[in-house]
Amino acid sequence: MDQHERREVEAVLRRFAARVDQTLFAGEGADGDLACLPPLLAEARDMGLVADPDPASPGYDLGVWGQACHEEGLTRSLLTLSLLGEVCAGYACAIHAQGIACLALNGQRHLSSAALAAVFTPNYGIPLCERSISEGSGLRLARADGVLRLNGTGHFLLAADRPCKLVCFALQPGADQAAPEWAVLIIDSNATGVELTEVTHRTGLRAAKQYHLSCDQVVVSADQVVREGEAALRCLRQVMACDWLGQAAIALGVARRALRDSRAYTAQRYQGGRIIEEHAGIQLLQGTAEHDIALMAAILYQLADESLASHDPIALLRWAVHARLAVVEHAHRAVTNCLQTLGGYGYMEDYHLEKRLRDVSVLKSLHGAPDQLRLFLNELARTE
Amino acid sequence: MHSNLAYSISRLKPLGRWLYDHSTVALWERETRTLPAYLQRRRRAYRRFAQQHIAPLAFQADESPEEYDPRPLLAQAGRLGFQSELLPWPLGTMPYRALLESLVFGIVLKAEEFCAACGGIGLSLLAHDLGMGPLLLSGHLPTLLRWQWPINRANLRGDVRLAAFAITEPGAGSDVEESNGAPQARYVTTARKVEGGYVLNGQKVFISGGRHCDYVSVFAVLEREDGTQAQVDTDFTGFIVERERFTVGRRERKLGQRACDATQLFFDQVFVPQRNLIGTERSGWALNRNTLNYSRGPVGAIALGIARGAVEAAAEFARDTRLNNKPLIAYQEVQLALAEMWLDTLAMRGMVWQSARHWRPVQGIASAAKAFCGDTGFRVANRAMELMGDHGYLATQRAEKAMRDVRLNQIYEGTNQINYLSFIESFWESDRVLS
Repeated sequence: MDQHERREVEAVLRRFAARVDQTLFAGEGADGDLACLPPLLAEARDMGLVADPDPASPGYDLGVWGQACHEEGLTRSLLTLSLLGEVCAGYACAIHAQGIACLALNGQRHLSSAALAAVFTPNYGIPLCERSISEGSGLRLARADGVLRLNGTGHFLLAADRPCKLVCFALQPGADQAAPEWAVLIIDSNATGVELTEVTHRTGLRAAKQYHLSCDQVVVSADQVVREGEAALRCLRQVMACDWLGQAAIALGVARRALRDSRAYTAQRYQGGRIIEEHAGIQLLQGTAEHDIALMAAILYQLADESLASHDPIALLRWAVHARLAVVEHAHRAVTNCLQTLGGYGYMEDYHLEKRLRDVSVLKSLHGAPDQLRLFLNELARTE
Repeated sequence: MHSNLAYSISRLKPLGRWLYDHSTVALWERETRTLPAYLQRRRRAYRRFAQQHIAPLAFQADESPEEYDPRPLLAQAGRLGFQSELLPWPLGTMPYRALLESLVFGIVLKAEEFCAACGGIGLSLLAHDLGMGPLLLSGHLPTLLRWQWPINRANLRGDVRLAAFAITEPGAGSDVEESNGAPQARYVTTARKVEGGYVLNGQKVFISGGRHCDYVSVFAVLEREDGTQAQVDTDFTGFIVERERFTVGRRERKLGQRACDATQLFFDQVFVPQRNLIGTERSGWALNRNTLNYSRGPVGAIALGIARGAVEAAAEFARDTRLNNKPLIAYQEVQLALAEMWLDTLAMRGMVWQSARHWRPVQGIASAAKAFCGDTGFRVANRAMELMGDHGYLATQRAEKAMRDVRLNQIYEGTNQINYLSFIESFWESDRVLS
């Protein structure tokens, strides 16, 4: 994506984001009016911002994590998520979740437009990490009596709404006693043996839905298996990397908005007889946030122009882990610093700084907490 | 203990064995035993109360604060003497020995234990002490006898009588809590002297416990007789105002400590009789500053309690969650994270207890404890969330509530930035002379 195109895309996105902002936060409420979400998501779908498994849909190529990222790079998706993250991290996460599920399909199955969710995270820890296979967690695909069956659980899967179809990563026995290998398959969320439980009472990202999946002897036909073996592993690595990169992009947006709101507040209000922004203590907080945001943008867009197809999957994962770790940590600091500049008002729902803190706090541990990521990063480095 | 070490200890001479403390006594118990007996008893009583009565209410009170009625719990705490501990018998329930050693040590113990169970409910129980603080610190015996004594007696009967503390205004917060900001603060609550008393006008915001209080210790600038501009640092005056005289506005919707309301109060041509004056006219700046000196240590203890609650929740999660056929707590990285959090809470407790050992709280030391514990507590709660992975952001795991709760400790009782400056101000003269 060249600079000119990037500016054009950004201008369109900013206009749309402003509209979402006005609609979602027209009334009171810590997370905005969540009843407005379905039409706002439909509008994003019509604009082609939401990835779609249907090739006829505008989002199939150009939606977040749509097919275009395999050829043109990740900048468009990251930019979109970052700008939507400035409005509402949960809304951005909902669009991101649909994209990640489409990425997992990788154009292998052309479905009619449907709400999807990707299932790849265990109950605790991250997949592919040596120590992160939590007990009783993860999906297993096995053939018994000539029938393929899916068993096990998947956790904390994100979705824009209750998904119709689930794109699952499951382990299956390797050929001839070899180590288990990955498979990607599609199942219907209302199939027999499938149970989806919504995760409620979350700190933030409430505009996105989250579920636990339980599969009990779910019968799977051969044509539901999209990919197996090395191809499935490569796909899982891409999905995990883009999931973390997307989260980082959203966190960058959250931090940018927090700083903008902080500047607007401190430029108008007084403390100790002076405009708040004139106090050195406030300038230090805002200066630190400014610095944090610059660092975040640098690491996030470092390799974004390279096409997904050209990325070595391990190198891609390493970049994604670096980005998620650094960006979310700096975003958290930037947001809490900005909240501090509003004093007591920062803690109240009215200025939405508390919402930004809640959202970025979830992003810190979503699908991988910092220590888990550090261990995984070290593992990747040793592998290489 | 490792069996070889136990064997080796058993081989020591009796004195050597005696010098080696290898008992398996819990950290909480060990620290309690370092306290004088009367404080040990109080710490145990606070913990018992917190575990039996506060913890079971915590989730629901945070989830639906509008539906949570704090009065039954406050009545129970009152009957146990927890709401009248600023004065000794016969005026209150403070142990006599506290008069000789420290006026706030008991309060910091109470704050930690209550807030380890729930920051919001803990605050709602502590807000009354803050509201009563200016009466005590005025040093005006008639004020104590007229107001504080009957309020204490009512609370001991279980007849809830609550006070709140009101300084903050929409346009003046932390600046009325430090010396440089106060002269220029845009303070709008005023008191005008009239026959037989004063007339108050103005508005207060973020008043902890304002919705349920029966009295409020309110600060206003007393208009000058010569008509010149009154200001905070020279004309501030404290009043105790009964509930029927002022109007309660909206309850703020806040990030955490939600069980304790933060409410707007309105004073519209409110007449208060002379007897409602706290201490003397125009002594309010000193009274306000000293109330903060006494309250900032306990606010540090609130952060400490919340952080401890987060670590306890994380440790419980690590014991109950299994990974690759062993509990999470068996993993070295988890032990390192837990140790880091425990060490942080130990440092916080050291700071808080040290600040409380001064018979009269010292501005700089109390501010340091408040700011250090606010910042460290926030770090600990975030670390606890992280340790739990995706479970960390679920309300059922308690760490996320701790994170939301403790974030307020970096803001109220003066933002931490104000408290850092307060520390410098406190030692500006003395330490310049010394160096």
